[in-house]
Amino acid sequence: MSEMLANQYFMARKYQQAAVELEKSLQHSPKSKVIRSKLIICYTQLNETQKAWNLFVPLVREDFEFIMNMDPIHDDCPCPELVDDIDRKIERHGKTAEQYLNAGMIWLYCDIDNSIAYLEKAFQLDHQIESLGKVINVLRNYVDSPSMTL
Amino acid sequence: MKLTRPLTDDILDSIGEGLFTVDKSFKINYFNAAAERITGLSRDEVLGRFCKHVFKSQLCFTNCPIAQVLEQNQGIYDRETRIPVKNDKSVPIRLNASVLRNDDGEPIGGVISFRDISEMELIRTKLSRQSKYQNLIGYSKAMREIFELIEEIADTDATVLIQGESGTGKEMVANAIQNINHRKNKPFIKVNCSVFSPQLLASELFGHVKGAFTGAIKDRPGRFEVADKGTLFLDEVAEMPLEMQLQLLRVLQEGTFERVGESVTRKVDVRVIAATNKNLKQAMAAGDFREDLFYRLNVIPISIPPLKERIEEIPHFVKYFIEKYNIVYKKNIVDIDDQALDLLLHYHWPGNVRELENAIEYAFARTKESTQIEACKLPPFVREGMECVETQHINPNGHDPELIRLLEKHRWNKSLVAKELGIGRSTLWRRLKRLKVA
Repeated sequence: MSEMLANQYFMARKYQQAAVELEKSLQHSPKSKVIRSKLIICYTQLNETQKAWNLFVPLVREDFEFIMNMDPIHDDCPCPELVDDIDRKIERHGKTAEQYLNAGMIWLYCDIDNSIAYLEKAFQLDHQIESLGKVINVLRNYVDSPSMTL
Repeated sequence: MKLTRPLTDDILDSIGEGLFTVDKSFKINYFNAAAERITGLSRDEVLGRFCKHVFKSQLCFTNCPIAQVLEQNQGIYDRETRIPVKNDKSVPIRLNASVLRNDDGEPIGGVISFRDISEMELIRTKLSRQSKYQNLIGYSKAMREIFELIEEIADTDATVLIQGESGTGKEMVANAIQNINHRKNKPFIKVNCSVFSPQLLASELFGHVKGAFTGAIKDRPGRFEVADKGTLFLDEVAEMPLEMQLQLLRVLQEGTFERVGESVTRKVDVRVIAATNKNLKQAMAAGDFREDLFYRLNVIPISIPPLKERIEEIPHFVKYFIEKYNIVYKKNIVDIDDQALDLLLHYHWPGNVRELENAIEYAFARTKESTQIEACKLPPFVREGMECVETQHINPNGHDPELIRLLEKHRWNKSLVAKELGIGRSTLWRRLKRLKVA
């Protein structure tokens, strides 16, 4: 188990290998926001949407600003390169709730308005996604009044 | 209180190798002066930044040395690669990589040290036209037979024993064998058996576990483990103590060993090339070398003849070294004069090709204006008994033959000349000035 090795895989955008190492690191440090936020990205890129969502919801409840503040330069956040391809990916995989959910999670690392827009599309297609409505409300409330939390 | 730089910074800045360290997120947190010089990047430009953003190399994504150390739990030694530097250029380097760990053994950072091998690469490129065997050269029948043998054994994993006097190029033969072998992209680890005490040699070859002996503060893999799937070059194998020879025999026969202080048996796949300048048959007769190990090592024997038995090669070697040192010293020496070559051909060369190379390098350092290596520029041991006079400084129209004779007699030691003439050094200086040699 090595968080450092996980960091290198993440840095090299080897999401499959990074996920394996990050999962091990998460067992060791279950509260680490850095590990969780990176693992969410890995899962979205591996189309493991449910796993990503399971980590995303508690992190949004706890500190969604941590996700929003991840920086491409200082934190090596890959969101700019990922959102570039997001619409093509949705076209490729189909306009499903799962794809919009993936896109909504990734966009929160880059832009909260786009994140809300994609999460709402997911919600329109599937009202049953656990906690989705609450997450959208939290993000909306933040946009309207940036001091509220869930 | 005045803040000063840590002493370690000064120490690391004083070394010639570039060195940088990263934290566990791969942000650079140390960059020494040599790293600045080699890369053209200043410390301020790189500290706190991700190494991939600094070096912008494909290597960071596909072949990160520190990631490999983490994956394989083994340090990287002498890996040749290129490093991007300022202005979209790159320089060839040879690097070592290792991981820094905390007291619990958790990786907390990495360290990469590297040296610029641009000059070496230039030499290699220019001289590779003459040799495809890693700069191993030879023109005699004996050497051509060795080259043929190296070609023939390219696909085998059989053990090789290279015998030859010191300076004949045993390590270069080992490099040549490795360079065309199917294991050439796997680790090639070299160990000189003569530089370690018996206990340290065991630890060096087989590794040790924490607490195995005083100073064994953590587990450490040995060279056999590091060389797994690759090749291990055991230089000066005859210097290996008898008890170690038995352990080596076991690795050669079974591929198994234990780390010092551990009972777990480990298995490796390592091809061994051994070398010695000793006569192993004599060593066996004296009871200093195991017979069974000799036959296990001597599967493919290679015997390199001493230079004195192939003096016909000396002119070729001289030409080769002139080309090499023209690059190293940025000179334009084109040849060697007949008298100098004659001296080289008649010297007995106990230090073999290495000694010949040193002699040519010595002459290069002393040749300032001429485009030829002259006899008097060769080392004294080569031109033993030969009188050398710096005649180029003597004014041929001078009228002081006695002074010139004394200068020649005392090899331009002015104090001795002044003493013999019974004059002071300042008087001598005035006479030399008249001769226009002062």
